[in-house]
Amino acid sequence: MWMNFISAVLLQFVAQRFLGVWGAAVAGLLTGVLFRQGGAIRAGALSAALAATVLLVVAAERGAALTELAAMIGRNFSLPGWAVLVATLALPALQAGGFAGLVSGVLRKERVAIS
Amino acid sequence: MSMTTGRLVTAALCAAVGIGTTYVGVVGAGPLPPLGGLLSPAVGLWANAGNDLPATATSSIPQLDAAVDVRYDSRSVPHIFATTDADAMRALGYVTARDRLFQLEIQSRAGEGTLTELVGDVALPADQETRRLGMPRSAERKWRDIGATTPSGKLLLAYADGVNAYRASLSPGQWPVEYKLLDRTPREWLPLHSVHVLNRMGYTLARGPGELELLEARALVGDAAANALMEENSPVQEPIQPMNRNAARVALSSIPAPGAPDSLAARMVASLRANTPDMSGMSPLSWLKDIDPTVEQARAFASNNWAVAPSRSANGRALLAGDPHLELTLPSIWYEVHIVVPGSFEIGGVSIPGLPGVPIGYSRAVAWSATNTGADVMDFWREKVDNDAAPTAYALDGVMTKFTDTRIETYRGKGGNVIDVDTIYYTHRGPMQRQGREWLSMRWTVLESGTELQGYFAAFHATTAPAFLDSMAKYYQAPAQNFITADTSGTIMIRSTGRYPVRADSGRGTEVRDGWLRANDWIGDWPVSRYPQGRSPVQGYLASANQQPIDPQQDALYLGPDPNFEIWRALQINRLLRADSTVTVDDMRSFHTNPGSVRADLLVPALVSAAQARLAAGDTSASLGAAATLLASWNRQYTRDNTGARLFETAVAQTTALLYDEFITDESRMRSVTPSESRLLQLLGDSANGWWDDRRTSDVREDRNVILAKALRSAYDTLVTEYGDPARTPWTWGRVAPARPNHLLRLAGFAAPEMPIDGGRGTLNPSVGSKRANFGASWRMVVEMDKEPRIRAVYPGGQSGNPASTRYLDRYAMWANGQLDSVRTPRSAKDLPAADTRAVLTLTR
Repeated sequence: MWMNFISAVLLQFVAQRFLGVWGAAVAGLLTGVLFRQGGAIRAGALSAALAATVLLVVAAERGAALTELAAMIGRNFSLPGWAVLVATLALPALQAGGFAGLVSGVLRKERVAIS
Repeated sequence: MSMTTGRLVTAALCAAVGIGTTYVGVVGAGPLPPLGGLLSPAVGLWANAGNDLPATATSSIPQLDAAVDVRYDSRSVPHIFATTDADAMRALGYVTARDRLFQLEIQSRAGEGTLTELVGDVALPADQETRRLGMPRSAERKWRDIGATTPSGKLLLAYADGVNAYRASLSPGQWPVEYKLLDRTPREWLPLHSVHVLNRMGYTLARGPGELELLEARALVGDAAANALMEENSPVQEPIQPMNRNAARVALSSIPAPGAPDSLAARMVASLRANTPDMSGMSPLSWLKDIDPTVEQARAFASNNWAVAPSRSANGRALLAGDPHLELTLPSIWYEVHIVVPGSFEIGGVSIPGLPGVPIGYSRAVAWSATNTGADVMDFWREKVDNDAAPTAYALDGVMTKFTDTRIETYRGKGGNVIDVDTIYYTHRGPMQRQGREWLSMRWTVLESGTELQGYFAAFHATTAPAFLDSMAKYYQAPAQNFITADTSGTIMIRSTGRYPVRADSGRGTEVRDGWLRANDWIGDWPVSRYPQGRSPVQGYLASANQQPIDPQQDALYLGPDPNFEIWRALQINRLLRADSTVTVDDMRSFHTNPGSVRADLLVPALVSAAQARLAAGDTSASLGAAATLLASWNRQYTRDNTGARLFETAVAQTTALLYDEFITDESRMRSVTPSESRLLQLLGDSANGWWDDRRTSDVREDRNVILAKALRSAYDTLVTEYGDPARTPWTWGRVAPARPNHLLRLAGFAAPEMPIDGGRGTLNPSVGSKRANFGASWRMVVEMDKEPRIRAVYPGGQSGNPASTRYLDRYAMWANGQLDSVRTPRSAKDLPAADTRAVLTLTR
């Protein structure tokens, strides 16, 4: 289970880094396969949020003032900075959780039909 | 519900969430932009954060003749060391795009009239104005005339090479944040786009349909009053061409009272406004949609430049200063650079992103700056056409003449969809548009120029101040500028340079003429010898601040200066320079932000005196008493901590509103004409003039004191409502009138924080924001002409256009405090010390 989760996080990290806005969705599909026996939604969402957090930390390491930037972006949409940060993590989490749940649901259904 | 059904439902919900959020992330939904592109930690806005100027970098521009070394100093100014002129321009294009890629595009699109394709339908009115003025057609024709094989054409192509090389080096995650917010892709840069930027400068600086304002005035108050009030000659003469006088020449003639409307003018205005009810209160010309009196007055803050001869400077060297006043934006309109091409030229200063060159700056021998001449270079003609519904020809000397061109302008949205279509007809003069029941054609020097860049490149090689200005005079046409220069030999010189049309008969551009007579066309241009100018004058200094360039007593040639350019700053800089016979570099710096105001010195006593007279006559208003006390105690200095300027500004605005009530039409309830403030000086000396009477009060005839006191009381009450009781919360200038440069897209999050500053309307540092506009000193420069120029300078903002960059606003505080930074001028890469080197960029083929 833990190995699968670590794999899901790594998948998310690589996918978000190199596939951009499609990354979380693609990695979510694969997470669904890994967790087809159960827990796919949680694993997908958590791994995507965790990978996004790591990528943000990497950005901060490069010198980005994350909270200031979040506040700046938020002001353009009349939102507080924390809402921008939450949205940054929530969007890939919802994408990945959704697709992981979809895949695991489909695969589990097939397994039940065979038995 | 069975287990299987439950799983199906769960899977369906998961699919909906996954697909839905991915759709919103990739495509967006309704008003939401694609959120994934914005929020992705890898490619979204976060990717723009961090150090955007790495210590070392290498990149390729395939068209380079040889490698180019670029050193960024600690002020983030790129020093370009190239071996050919073309390579220098390629590198300039590259470094400009590196810091200002989005600005390049939005500025060129503003001149092209295609903003809608970048930002959407909201920009349609601006694009319509641009295209109806004929600007994109003009740019295309200019580029066709320049051609790719001329020296100017080659430099424009080289600049484009640099911009495009940088653009090609970017991944989508590296695109400027604005592209991500707008969900757009940076477009390829073409030489034509530089011409659009040049045209846009003409639009900003030389767009003055003064005859339409005069027409409006005549329609409301008759010829005599309108002509006197809108007279192009200022009642106070402190011209650019030096008169070597000890004081300004003041000629406060009487202004006729408002009279009966001029019926011909009234009919014409009604005809122009027919079927355009929304335009009442604005310019009668609907294709100039941006003409808003509030913004126009703020725009008129314009610029200063002055130079001091060795005879008048403390160290015996020529000194030069310049501060162009433009809209304060982030990123700044300026980008600071220094370019060295050994054996060819070396220049530094500020470039305009999109234009190869340095409009304000210095070489090893010459320094230069510019202010806007504001000449009348835009005229209008009434036309008769063959078919009102679908014209194909216009009348000219009794013959129906085919249009020179008929152009269909198609406006497209962000998705390429057509959102509007215009047909623009062109007579031999220029674009023609239907205005109400009239057809008006226009001629504008900005549409016909095109050799300006050639002028700059010739001037960059000049080694003396006169040679620089002679090069500009040979090629430079529009927008007309008061170019000032100083050289290392101590010569100072100024010349109001540009193409000034000579009109038929009266020679004035103050009337809408009949287009069906060729005799009403422009008949030539003024020769350079008639340009207002001065060279190392006896008075030991030269100064321009957008005032009337030449005293009509000296030469009555019609330049038609913009009436919105007030005389106040010119009076102040002349006052300061006359009072100082040993000017130092620091004096020059301090003049930039000098808080003194001739305007306040002349108008405050009148307001206070009127209030006191009314109080003595029995007026018991507590507001008036408090206002008079507050204003009388003000030292008339626009320091950031003064508490009187806000009251004065509001009182002057109220005075103008009460004084010119005749220009408020019943239909619009907006003032359609606002004469120059200097006319107030004439009216103040004529206390019973009919202009003082408020025609809205039929039972009483007001005089000067009544109106001034009423304005002051009203101003006080307004400010109490807005800012509170001044006894408890003083109306501190820095709090109520701060500077606040706005982002190019007006995005609040990317604007600069409000910053208290010294200066206000009519002072040398006019950086005052209103709710509608924020104009001010966009660049300040002081140059000491030693054996080589020593330069100090600053502008509000920073070199980077990336809001997440530490270089986005790093100069702002220094600018607000009136300080200048020391500009580096290394002759070679090795002359820039390592400790002063922030980054190195190597450009190779």
